Amino acid sequence: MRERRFTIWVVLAILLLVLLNLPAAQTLGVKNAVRSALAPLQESVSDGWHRLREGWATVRGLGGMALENQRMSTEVARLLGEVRELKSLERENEQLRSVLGFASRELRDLIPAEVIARSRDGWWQTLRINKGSEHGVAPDQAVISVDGLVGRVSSVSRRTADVLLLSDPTCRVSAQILRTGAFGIVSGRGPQWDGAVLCRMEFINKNIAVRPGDEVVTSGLGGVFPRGLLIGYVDRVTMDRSGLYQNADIISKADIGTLQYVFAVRDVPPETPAPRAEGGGARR
Amino acid sequence: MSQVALFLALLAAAVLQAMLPTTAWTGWAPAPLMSGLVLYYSLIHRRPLVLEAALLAGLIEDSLSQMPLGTTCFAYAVAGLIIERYRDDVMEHQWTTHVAFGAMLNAGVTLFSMLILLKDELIHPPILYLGLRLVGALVLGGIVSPIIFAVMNRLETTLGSVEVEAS
Repeated sequence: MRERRFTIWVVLAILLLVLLNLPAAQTLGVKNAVRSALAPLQESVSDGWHRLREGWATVRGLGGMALENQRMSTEVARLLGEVRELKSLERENEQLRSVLGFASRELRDLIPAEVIARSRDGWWQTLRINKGSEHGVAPDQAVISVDGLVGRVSSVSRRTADVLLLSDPTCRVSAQILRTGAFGIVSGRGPQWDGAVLCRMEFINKNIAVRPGDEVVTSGLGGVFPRGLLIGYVDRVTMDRSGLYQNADIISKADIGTLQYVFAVRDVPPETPAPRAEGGGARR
Repeated sequence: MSQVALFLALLAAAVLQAMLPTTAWTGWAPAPLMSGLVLYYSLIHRRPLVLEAALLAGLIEDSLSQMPLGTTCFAYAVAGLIIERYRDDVMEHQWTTHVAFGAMLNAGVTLFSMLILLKDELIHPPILYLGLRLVGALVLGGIVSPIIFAVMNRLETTLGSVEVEAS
């Protein structure tokens, strides 16, 4: 009896040690299975919580609703006009590009997704969305919100995907200052005391003047993030310790801490007709 | 019935732990619901169920985070077995026991995970953050564990899995 018990403990210890030392590629399958299994529950709880918050916000904002409605209607009318104008400009641009023999710009398909969980372990800045490989989400796709870049897809299961946020120090984005065209690398600064999302743009040419308030967008270099996605605004500019470059603190435009809906950006080759994402993928 | 209670508790804890907010003052340590569950099973149930709870809680926690799979499983299993071994020496239904054991369990598991992540160079946080995180885990473990114990004891009493209630 004692020998049998000893054997069981030894087998258990070996199993745990094997599990601890499995390569990441093999453990990913197990992780994805658990994530997919828990996704519907996480989704419904997150949805319920969101509805509660929305309901409460509606009750609190009842007084200002008419004014808000009026403001939104004006904004919609203005934006519709802008879209019409941009469409004609886009057509003209495409015609000119074809005349000059330039390659057509890549089209982007947006896969809408809802945030169902956030990384609460504090070591990494991630969130989980309710769309996975079966909806067309793939690793390294850029993830944006209506306000701008949020991060990139780090891992995908069948029904969910994990997004490495812009605020994570390991998320590095090739960026450009819109006003001057100066290039640099943006990376997250990790969690801040006040909960703000702070990033730093490094390796900016020291001879180019960078000012607080300058818009920072993705440069498109590196191949992960499409060009022109808004990252945020310059908050403070400092000289690098070596004196060779400038660094700039960037405040993210997207409110990463309270995001509820995001879009995974899928590149669509211009030759092929764009497949519609499940749930109504919007074209950009 | 114990299995049903364990299954329900693990599901609820996994979802809630991922939703409850964290603060800078506790080093962004999450509310240790899973750790509270492991403590409850270690103080109340037989060794096989303690192991089952520890391994499943660890597996779910690792799967839902970026932690290497098996890290939390291992830490929970070892901690659970140690608590189960010495539970006869303490008053397992006293809230003071839950506070002390909960704080030690959560801080211990956090320290172990931290060391594994640092060893594999998966994180590079400042020293102050590591200290704050450990203190946060200690405090949250002490606060959350008695609550989890009371809730689980009520659930299992309702389901008929245990006969005694927490004092």
